[in-house]
Amino acid sequence: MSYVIEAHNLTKIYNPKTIPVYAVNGVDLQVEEGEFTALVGPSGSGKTTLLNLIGGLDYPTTGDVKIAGVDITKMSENKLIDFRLQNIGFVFQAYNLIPVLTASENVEFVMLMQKKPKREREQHAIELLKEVGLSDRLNNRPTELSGGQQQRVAVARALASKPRFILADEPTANLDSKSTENLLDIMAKLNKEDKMTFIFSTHDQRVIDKARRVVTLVDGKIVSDEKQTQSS
Amino acid sequence: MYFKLAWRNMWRSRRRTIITISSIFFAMIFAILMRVIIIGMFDKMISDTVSMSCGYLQIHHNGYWENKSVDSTFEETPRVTFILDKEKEITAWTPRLETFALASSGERTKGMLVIGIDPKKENAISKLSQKLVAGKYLQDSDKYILLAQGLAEYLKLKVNDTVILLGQGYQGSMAAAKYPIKGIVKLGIPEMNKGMAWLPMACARDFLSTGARYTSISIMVNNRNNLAALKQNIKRQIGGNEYEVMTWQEMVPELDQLFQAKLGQNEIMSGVLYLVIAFGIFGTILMMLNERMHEFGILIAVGMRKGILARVVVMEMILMSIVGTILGMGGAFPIVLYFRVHPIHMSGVWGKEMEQFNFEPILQPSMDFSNFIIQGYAVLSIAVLLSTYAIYKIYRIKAIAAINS
Repeated sequence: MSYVIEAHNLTKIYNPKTIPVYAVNGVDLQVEEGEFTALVGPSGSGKTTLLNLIGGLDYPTTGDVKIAGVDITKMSENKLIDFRLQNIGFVFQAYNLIPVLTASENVEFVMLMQKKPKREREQHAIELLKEVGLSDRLNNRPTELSGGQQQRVAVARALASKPRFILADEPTANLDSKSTENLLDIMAKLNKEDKMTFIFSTHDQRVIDKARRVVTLVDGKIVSDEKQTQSS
Repeated sequence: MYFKLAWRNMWRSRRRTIITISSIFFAMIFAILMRVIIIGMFDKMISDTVSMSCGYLQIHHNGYWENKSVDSTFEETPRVTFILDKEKEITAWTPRLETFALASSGERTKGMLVIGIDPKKENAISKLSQKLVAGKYLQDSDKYILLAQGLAEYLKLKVNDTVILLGQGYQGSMAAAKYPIKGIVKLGIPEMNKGMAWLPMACARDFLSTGARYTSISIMVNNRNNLAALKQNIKRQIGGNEYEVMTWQEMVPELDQLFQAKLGQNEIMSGVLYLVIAFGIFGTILMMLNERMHEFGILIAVGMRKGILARVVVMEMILMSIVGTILGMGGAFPIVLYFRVHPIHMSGVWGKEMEQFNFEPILQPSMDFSNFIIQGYAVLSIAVLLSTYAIYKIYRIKAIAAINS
């Protein structure tokens, strides 16, 4: 079986020389293509740190992370930036769109960094925003969009680079029920129809219910890893 | 899109951007005004001095400049005048026969510079006829003299009075003559106004017994910044050792030194203004880095190379400086133009002080646009230099730490 993500004996220790804090402690995790996986656990259990390590935003203290067979923990910072650009999509809790760009420009921006031609960028951005139900909001800036709409733009932005998988850190934490439902439907649809792999950290039971695999972390260790059948 | 991003980012904190641009705008206006006034003052002084005396370039007999004797004169030569006539850089030239002499009237006597001139050619250079305050300008065939106003006042003379000249003529001969005054001219430079007089060339030759000889040919040019090359060119064309070609800086080095010293003082003052600009820009950079660190982390996380991020931030700073610079130039231009057309006539203590330094007490700014451009370059250089701090900070960003900031 080939995995999109393979993490072996992953450990992240903060303050190793003073009072060591094991944010992630000897985690082994494999994720196959097309998974819809939730990382759950109480606050401080290491969900976000694990996502950051998998996403190449942080380097582990020990262990390694392979994305499609490539060990990203050995990469230089610049190579890692390029690798992230080509392989990983991010969705953040606070949306984090570029406030001075419109919805479509935010989506285009990632493709610009991939040096795609203008016409292709514009066309793809429109398609993606249509896919997340925002075809009527192309020229609105983030401040003119609701939280749910901003998060959908963030999903479109994450998809724009055609990544191998999307990491979403508490994507519904700032959303109301309707927006959460809407976003989950979009993510589930993308997962089902386009086989897009999603890994997200969450506390939200509605998100957990949608996941097909639930990995539970406590004190930086995986305490359970369960596959579940979706209710809908 | 990077340009669009930089431009829009610049206006994110509208009030701060306006404050920064305003500081550049006002500092630019002051820096430009200071510079154009100093340059204008010296342009006028240099132009007045060289047009009345030596020219931007001068051809004279080799060795003349050392002793300034009428014995070191040279004969009229069509070859030299032909060279001068065909040189495009030369706007006008005039022959002169100069000597120092004593001017006397009644009980008063004063040493002065008397210059034999070709009235038409001289007027093209020094515009003497426009400086007349009494009487008329000279004609070739006149046997009259033109006196500077200060000298006339000292000698208590007016138009149609007679002045007696006494000096040394060619090869030790005695030069003595008396001439009726045809006109009185007022010169801007006080020192010159107190001690100059002009005779038609034939009269001067007669007075000094030089025959058909000159002491010098004074030359005016289009571009006084290109004198060295023009001097070499003329020298090469004339050839031989009989003639010497000198620039005004070589002939009146003290004027050039004073100019450079004043320019240096002005640059120190400009430096203070640049410091104001620098603090404004640096404050903006610091606040911008502080406020947007989280955003920078996100941009790096989603795949923006630090080099590109730095480029966008530098572009923001440069755009801000360009806007301030252009507005500053635009703001300064009408002020400079107004005072160019309506120069300030200094009176009282300031005016007297300027006269002491041999300046005509008039402030008339230079309209040379390069003075505007120089200030623009200076501001942009400051922005680029200070942006290196932003570049340094961006290259040190750790994505995760920035996101969590």
